[in-house]
Amino acid sequence: MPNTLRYILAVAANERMLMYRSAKFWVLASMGVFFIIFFLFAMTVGTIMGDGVPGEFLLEGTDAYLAFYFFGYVQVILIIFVAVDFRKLEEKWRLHEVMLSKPMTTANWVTGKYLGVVTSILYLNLFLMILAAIGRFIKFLVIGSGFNILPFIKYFAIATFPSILFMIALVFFLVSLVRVQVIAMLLAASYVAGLWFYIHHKFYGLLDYGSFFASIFHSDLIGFGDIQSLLWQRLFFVLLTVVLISLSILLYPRLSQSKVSKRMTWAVLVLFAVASGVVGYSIVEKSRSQQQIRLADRVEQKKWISEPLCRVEHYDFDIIHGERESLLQVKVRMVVHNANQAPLDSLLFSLNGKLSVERVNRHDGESIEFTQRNQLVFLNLAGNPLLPSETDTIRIQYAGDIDAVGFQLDRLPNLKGLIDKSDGPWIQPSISAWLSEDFAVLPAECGWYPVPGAAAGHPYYSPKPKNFSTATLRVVTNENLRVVSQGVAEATPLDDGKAETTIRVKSPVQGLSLNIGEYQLLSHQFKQTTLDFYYQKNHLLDYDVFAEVADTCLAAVERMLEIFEEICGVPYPYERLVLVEVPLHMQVFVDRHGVDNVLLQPGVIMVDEVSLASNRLASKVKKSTKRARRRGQDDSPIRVKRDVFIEMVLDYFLPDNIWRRDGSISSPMRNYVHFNLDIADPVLARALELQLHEEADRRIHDTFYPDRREISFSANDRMRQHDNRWMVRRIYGIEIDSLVSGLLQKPLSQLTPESDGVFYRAAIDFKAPPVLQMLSERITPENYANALRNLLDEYRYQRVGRTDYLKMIQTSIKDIPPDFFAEWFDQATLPGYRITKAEAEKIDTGQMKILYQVSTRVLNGEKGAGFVRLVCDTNKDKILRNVELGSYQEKEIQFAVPDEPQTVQVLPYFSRNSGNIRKQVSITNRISRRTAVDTSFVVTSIEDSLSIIVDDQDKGFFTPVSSEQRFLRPPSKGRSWWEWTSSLAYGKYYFGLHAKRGGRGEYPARWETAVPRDGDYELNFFVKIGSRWWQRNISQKFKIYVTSADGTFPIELRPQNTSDGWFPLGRFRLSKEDPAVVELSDEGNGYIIADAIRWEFVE
Amino acid sequence: MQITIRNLNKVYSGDVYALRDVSLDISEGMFGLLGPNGAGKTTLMKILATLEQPTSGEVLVDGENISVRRREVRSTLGYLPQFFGAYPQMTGSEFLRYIGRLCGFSGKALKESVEENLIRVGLFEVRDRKVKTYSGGMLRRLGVAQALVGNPKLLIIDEPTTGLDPEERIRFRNLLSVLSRDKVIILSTHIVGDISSTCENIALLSHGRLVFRGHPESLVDQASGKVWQAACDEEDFGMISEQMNVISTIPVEGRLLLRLVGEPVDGFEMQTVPPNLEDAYMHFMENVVGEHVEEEAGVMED
Ligand SMILES: Nc1ncnc2c1ncn2[C@@H]1O[C@H](COP(=O)(O)OP(=O)(O)OP(=O)(O)O)[C@@H](O)[C@H]1O
Ligand SMILES: [Mg+2]
Repeated sequence: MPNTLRYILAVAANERMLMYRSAKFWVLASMGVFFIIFFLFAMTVGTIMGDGVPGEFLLEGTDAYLAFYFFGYVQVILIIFVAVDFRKLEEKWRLHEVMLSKPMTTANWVTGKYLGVVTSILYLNLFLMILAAIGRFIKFLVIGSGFNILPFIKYFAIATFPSILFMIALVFFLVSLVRVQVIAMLLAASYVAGLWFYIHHKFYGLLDYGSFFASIFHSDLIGFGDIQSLLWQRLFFVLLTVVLISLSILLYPRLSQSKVSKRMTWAVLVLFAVASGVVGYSIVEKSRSQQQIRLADRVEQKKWISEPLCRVEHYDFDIIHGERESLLQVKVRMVVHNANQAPLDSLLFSLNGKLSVERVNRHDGESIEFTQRNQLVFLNLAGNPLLPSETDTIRIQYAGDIDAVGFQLDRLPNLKGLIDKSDGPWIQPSISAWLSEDFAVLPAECGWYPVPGAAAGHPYYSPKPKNFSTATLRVVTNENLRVVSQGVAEATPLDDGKAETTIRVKSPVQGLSLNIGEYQLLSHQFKQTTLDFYYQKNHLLDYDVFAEVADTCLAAVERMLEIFEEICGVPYPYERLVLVEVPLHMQVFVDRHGVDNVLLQPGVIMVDEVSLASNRLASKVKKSTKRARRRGQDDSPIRVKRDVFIEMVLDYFLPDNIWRRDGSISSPMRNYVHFNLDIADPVLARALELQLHEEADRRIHDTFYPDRREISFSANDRMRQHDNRWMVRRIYGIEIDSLVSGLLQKPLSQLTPESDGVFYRAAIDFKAPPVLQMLSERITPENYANALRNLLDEYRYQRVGRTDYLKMIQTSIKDIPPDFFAEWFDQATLPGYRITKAEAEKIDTGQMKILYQVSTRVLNGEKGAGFVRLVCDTNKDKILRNVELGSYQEKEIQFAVPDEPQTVQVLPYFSRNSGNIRKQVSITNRISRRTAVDTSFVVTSIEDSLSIIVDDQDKGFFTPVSSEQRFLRPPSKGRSWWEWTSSLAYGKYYFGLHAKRGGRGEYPARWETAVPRDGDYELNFFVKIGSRWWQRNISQKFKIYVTSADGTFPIELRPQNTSDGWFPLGRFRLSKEDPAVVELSDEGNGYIIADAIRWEFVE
Repeated sequence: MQITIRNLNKVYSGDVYALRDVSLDISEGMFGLLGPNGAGKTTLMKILATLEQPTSGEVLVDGENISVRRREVRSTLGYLPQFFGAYPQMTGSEFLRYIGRLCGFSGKALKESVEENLIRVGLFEVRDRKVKTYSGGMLRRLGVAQALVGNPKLLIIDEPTTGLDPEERIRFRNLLSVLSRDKVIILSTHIVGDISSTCENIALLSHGRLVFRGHPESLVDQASGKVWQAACDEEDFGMISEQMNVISTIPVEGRLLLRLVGEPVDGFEMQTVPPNLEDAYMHFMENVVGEHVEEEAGVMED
């Protein structure tokens, strides 16, 4: 036996030595060093410089973990390169015969080689870990983020180490099997590529050897989250490693020295193959059966959705948190009320599946029979039913853990027919609750306390009625932990390191949540509201930079709260507003195309640790000071710090980043209206939430940064205005064009998250908030706020639908049609706007003042009601007019402005337009003497039916695609024509043009149409060279070929600005049988522009 | 140690008969394998070194079948293959240390064995140089050293002297004869001279068949009276070489002095000379085996 070991170690040591002397290995090593340097040192430097380093890199554990994560990708490629040598190395140096005549067994030999490769790579990884620890330490010293190397050691042990073991074994096996090194290498590489690009975490993760796509992410608050199931998957790969190595030994072409050793290898092979089979099978079975249980549970719950329910009016909790044997022990006294007509002889509650009910009593101590099935608890009152309008008290005692994944059965990870909630490598959206000995995030949805009725299975359009209740909570936990819930908390120490926190929830809430953690607390009393901020020690560094501007900062927050109140029409409804730091996962979860996209925590805003940790306040102040100085702005500390502070607060209140692009998750605005109503219509709920959010965003920016660039009007507006079709004109990954065409097929209210997936969410966010904004604009924002107040006065704690909402709107302004929502939400119409006229005349009003009388016309060229905001820019000011436009209606709007008008622009609330709708105002020089008018009226549009225009966005327009372009995205990029949006372009609703650098005429653009009748047509070519850049860079000559009944005519034109952009090409005879074709050659010495061609019938 | 080879056959894929019915006994001391290219020497040695499995027949070492007792054979074996290389990025002594470990040495014994053998093959001076800087002969010597490192009882060396300079070759011969006192050494070679002075026993292989086995002297005896010396003009050389095997040709004063094997050609003045092993080998391969092969070929044609 010791000999065996000696041989293995000798071979391994030799293999290692050879590795260390090979260039491949050092390439691998330097890659590793690069990743460490990049993720730790560069990020540290980045943080010091104050550049926006992603918050992920500033958490304690994640930077190094991320370095290893990414290094894992590279590492495997090099492992493949290194390990394929395993059989051929000795042959290459003509040593195999010597080696094979040595007394060690083949098993010794192969294992030794394997161990050699593994250890050399392992040592490299250990070296990198030390480097990472040093990096982390430097980070700790320099920027003060915590020092903790445990996360990446853990990550290494869980993810990296098994994947090294497995991958090397796999390559060994492949080499043994196919014998041709190159093929083995290709096989291994294609497996890895397949995994990265296609397989991901499919097949229960049993192909994801590196756990690249498993849902692990390290949080400073809860560590790696739920990795229990992952450990099994890792074990599976380790077992498989032994199988592969045994196979490599058996396939090794060498005469074995004894039957015994061969048999032993077989035995090991069989043993481990069985073991890995069992583990693999149990992983599959476990997740299958879990899913089945959940699906079955959902089916079960669905049966109970129309069951008459009791209402709980008050909860009185006694909670013990953090005991090892059961993390949550609860005794709750519930005041239940029967608001139904009939007596209730059974009460139905839902409770998280891992909490088990121990005892149920009536107020008089009489015990109640109960049954608990997964998430449902039935209380049998058979002998003593709860009579109509009777109120009783029931005590339930329950204890256990929280099933963090399995609640919210309407949205489970990767299950067909349910709302998607898929996990990923960075995120664990399936974990939307957490409970451990020293931490808890328990949103109401997780069912940590009994709530009447089944939680899941309600039809999308009639969500479960909310139960509004008050509560008292007494929570006993370790005294170093703070407890957060809806009311004001008061802690009293107990013996043995425990403390009891009492929380009274005085205003009724839709749901109760519980957050427990070792938090620090910042607190301030504003006029009506206390603002409490619970955060982790290392995550809110140097906030004391604001000390000297504290008053200004607090005043700013005060002002924000006032703005919220103004917008919503009601004051903040609770005693305090809490910000509490939670793990990233809890926040990311909500961002998929969900219905009720928030974890319910009335009065509590969850701030994720990443956004907290990335707020390097001192360096932000420094950086902003520099920037202000560079721009010649006010760089006084007071001003700069105030701005930094406001930005930070906005980041928590109204975040606007890639994950939470709408920001509604954290928005305190939900507390004002949503949490006090039970809004039944999901479209309305979402629309209202986003509209209020956008309005708040706008007003806050107007208040605090009046001189900043105009912030966009709505998500819709933002998308419309972006020039680059590829990058930004998408919402949840869906392009504006797909949204428009999708919404023309199906009205908003017919979309569901189940059937339309992410499109549902994108469509709602795209259309619904602007529609409400439009409504608010029509009745004025003040009236709108009043309407909201009336709504709350009338319906507080009750269910409302869109008719109730509209009724409240109509109480302030009568002329809102009752079918307003039917028009906008239930019909698939989409207005499209054009400015058909923009002129101005100087007038002398006789009061020593010259005014400009502007006349402009806007056309809604489509079916469906329209409403736009017209903006006229003068040198000094903006003049706004709201214009309502019916189907196919054109209106003239006249108003006078004191300064020279520049452009008029139409801001549609919601339209099919893309790009800016803007027109230059042409001014006549004559001064006429008359009074100014301010009016608008409908004009009848004169459309010339005998002219045909083919725009570059229309069907008849073609540009050739050069072959290599197919692989580039978007397809319009590449060597030939690409698209451009420009307000100077011709367009109906999409103001785009095609342009190309002058070439040799190989890629002509082509317009084609069919003329309605034979005859002579006047042809015009649209080109407008507005900007100076175009003037300089446009080709001096355009070559155009017109095909007519008399043949093809070449035309050469020198592009120049015409009054209206149309450039005459001449008169041609066309036949209705033949297609009318115009070709624009790409020959030229500058850019060629292809936009639109017009055929006008002459005779 | 006693090695018994019985009715050994080895057929490679494609009907290549590398060994045909070879039976042989080998005991302590030096044993030389002679034979032309492709005779099957390497094949036989590979089978002995447990690298190949015979198609039929068996090899017994001290009465035990080696295909059953490969471990024992391997642990008493030193093998130098015909084509030998080493990891170029390692130094000579590193390489030997590695081989030593694989032979079960460690610690002081390992160190001593490595040094001893480095000295034996004259590589001690260059032991810390990378193998890739070694010359062909140095590499060959390293090969011999690695075969000796395990202090094997059975030493199988396939053409050990190719690429060695004459001085080294003599040293090597002496080394082998010292070692052969307590070992079985089987060496193959084309160079008859390597064997003549050292081997007690030799075997001649031709086309996979064992055609001679015995003391070199008995081979020499068979050739006595068949080796001639003659002087001739250049014009006559063609005629003589048609009928007799020319072993050597030395031009002397415008004429050629020839050493010949075979039946003398009439009309030339020839004297018999006492044969050496090389002459005997030549005589044997040409006359005894040549007929034999033709015979065989004839059989196969039928
Ligand atoms: N792996 C193999 N596959 C097929 N044929 C082989 C193989 N190895 C050897 N042979 C054939 O077996 C025969 C004997 O080869 P072997 O190498 O044993 O000859 P040798 O006596 O060592 O010749 P040399 O003096 O050239 O080294 C030859 O015909 C050779 O072509
Ligand atoms: Mg040979």
